[in-house]
Amino acid sequence: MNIRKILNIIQFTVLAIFGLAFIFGGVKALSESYFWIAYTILCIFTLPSLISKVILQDSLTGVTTVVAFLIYPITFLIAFGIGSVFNIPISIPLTLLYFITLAAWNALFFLFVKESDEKYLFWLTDKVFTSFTTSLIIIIPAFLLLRQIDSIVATDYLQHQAVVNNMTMNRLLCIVPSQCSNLFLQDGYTTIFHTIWSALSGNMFNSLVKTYFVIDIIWPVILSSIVYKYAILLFKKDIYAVLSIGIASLSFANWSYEFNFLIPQTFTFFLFLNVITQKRLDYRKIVFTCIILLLSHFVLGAFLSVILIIKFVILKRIKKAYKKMVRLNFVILLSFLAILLALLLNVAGFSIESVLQQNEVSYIGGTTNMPFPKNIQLLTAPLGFSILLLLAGVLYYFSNKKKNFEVFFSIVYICINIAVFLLAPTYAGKFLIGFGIFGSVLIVNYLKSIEFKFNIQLAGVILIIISVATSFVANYSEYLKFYKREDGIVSALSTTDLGVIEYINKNTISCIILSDPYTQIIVSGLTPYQTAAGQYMSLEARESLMVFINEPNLANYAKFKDLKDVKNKEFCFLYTARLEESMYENSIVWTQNIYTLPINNGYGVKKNEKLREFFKNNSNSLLYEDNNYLLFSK
Amino acid sequence: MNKILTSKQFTAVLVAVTVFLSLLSLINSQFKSKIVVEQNSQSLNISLANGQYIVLRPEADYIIDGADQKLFKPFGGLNQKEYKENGFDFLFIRRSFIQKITSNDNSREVLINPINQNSISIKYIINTNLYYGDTSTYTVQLDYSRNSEFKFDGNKIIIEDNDCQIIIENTNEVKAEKLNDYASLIFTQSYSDVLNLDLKISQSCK
Repeated sequence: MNIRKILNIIQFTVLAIFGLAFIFGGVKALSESYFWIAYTILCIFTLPSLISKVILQDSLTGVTTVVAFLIYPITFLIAFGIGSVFNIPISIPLTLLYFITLAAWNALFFLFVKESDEKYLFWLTDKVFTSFTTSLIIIIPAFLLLRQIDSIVATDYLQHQAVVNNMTMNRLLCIVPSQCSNLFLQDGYTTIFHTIWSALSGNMFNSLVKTYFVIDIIWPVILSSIVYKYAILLFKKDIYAVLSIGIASLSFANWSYEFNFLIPQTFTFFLFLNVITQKRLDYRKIVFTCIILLLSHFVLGAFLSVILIIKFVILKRIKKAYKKMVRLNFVILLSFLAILLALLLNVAGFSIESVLQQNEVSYIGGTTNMPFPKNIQLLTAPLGFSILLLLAGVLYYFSNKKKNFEVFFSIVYICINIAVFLLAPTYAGKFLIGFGIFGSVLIVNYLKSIEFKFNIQLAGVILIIISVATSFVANYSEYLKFYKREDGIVSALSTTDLGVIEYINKNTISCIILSDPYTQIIVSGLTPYQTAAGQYMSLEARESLMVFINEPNLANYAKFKDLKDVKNKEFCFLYTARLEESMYENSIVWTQNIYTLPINNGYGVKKNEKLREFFKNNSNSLLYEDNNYLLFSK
Repeated sequence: MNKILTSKQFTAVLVAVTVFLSLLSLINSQFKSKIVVEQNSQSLNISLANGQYIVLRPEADYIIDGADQKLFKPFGGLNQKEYKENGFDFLFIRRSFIQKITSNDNSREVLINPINQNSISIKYIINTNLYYGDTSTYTVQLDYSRNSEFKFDGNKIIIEDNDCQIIIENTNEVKAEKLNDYASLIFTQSYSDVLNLDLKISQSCK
């Protein structure tokens, strides 16, 4: 049987299974199915590649693929148009259009298989299969070890969901997220990302919580496939590409999260990676890519655009002018100098955050970066002790006469990473994005040069992956501590939160929800209702909240009406076990730093009789009550 | 030939060292003390496995004059402080912490030594040069981060909170009390120029 037939059989079998599941189990059979959710996510992220290859006759990854991602904002605009004409929520035409895109994916895949050369198809299937299985073999044990089933460990997902909820349910066309949700401290991107997020979450029947969990498994697989392609182009052999995936996907840099979460910055990096792995790029394509990167993330997009220009305009020109790669060593030495300068400034106490971003610091309630020397510890954390191999890779580059431009670029990229990180703008860790991927290029390039027998190479690859995995376990466990509750649950959402979410979803309430910041982000993400700034609730508002629950009286209640997000609006008060615990146990750190949130929610809401009395005396009714929540409304 | 062999050997050693150090670091993290000590301003914060913490604040120390019952805080104002962490964390070896607070002629030294993953010893050495009589008392205060029930059992104070049992052992049997309505413990002893207080804090979690 040839590969074409095998792919056709697989495609139609998968469709038949989902079809039968739908016929016999209804929508629920799909929405609760991890396979269906994984399938839709994969389709959404590979449709632009198929459009690029089959319709636009270009490669599967590259600038055309990046541009083809605009299919999602366009789909959203069409749905918005239909919704406006027929005066219906966008979610109805959107669901229909997303199913059409699924059908389009299948049609394009069928055409791709039909029209591709048999040899190419076999080669591609082999490569895709190897990259997918490699990343799954690496990711699944890590997930089994560290994550709980259906856990959400990025409140960002709820934050972006709140934008999608407003756009789809309330038929709003927002250019930037803050037009649709008050959960954003500042606008860092346009809503291009949210149009893709809306396809992933909910509009194809997918259960939200399960989708968030599956995204965390599928996203690294998708990103790994590009790393694999890049490594195959550079090192030719599968074993080196496998090592690249291993190192890159297990390097966990706090705040950059490129392999861990699908958020605007990692999506932007994914687009960047599509383009940076190309050999040549003309000016027109560079401009197109930079625009899309900037629209996807204003800060990281600009940073990555500069790197794109450095690679395809400056470094390529220097290479052309100097003809021999060995003469380009001065660029690397200049990059080292930039690191040294940034390090000296950092040691002297300078950081962009403390000098130029005072407003952000005072709003957040503290700095976001570690001082020297703790920041150096953070810098070495993604690769752990494998950083020794990275250093050996850099030394090898200098000692070796044969120099590869991509390896040279990897050193420059890492130097830019480190220099910006040391200059420390807010969340400097974000600028370490791609450190693991380009670090893996250097490590693999070095190991490739030592011609060991295959068996020894394989043992070496396994050992190095184990080595990086140990630092991944340490880093990821540390990250998960933020979501660890007293009841052992490690997730932004627990079963104790579901009752109130279900109530709010099933009933119409005409108010915005005022509660503690953590509860607000859960309500914003999982219901169509707005809250009072969610996790970015100002320190002043947090303070007012504590004052009110301690002394519930009209004067303290009136203070809420001065708050930015509540001003002139009707609000419902959602009293939580989080607030009660903060009050009775005096755990009020979350009122002093914007990134500290009260996460535990099992303390109960039985003690504060004064609060119940206050609402009762002021003609508020108790809409909902359980062990951990009281919802009051006029 | 020799050169190639050297590169191979070097790479093999480098990979072996990397893997060895990574595994060692992972094993080491399993032995890491589950009680974390940090200095915050003048205070020493002792973070416990149940998410709560104990704070040692020099400014909370006070002397009650036996003659007129007046209260005096020898370290109440701005003090000079020295803080040192000695040693490193490696398998069974753990860092110790020393904080020395000086105010005029008075000094207060706190030495914290981890005993194992779940217990630490705290030693106070307080030197004051003040004129107080025998009936005067010196009190040291420990603040727990959450108001909980403190059970007194001989020289032990037991706090059960968040599936963890925290035991504060008062090894030189100084009088201990809980401050009403606060999550604070006070240790009171007769005043003398040189005072010692030895405590041991252990935790066991389900």
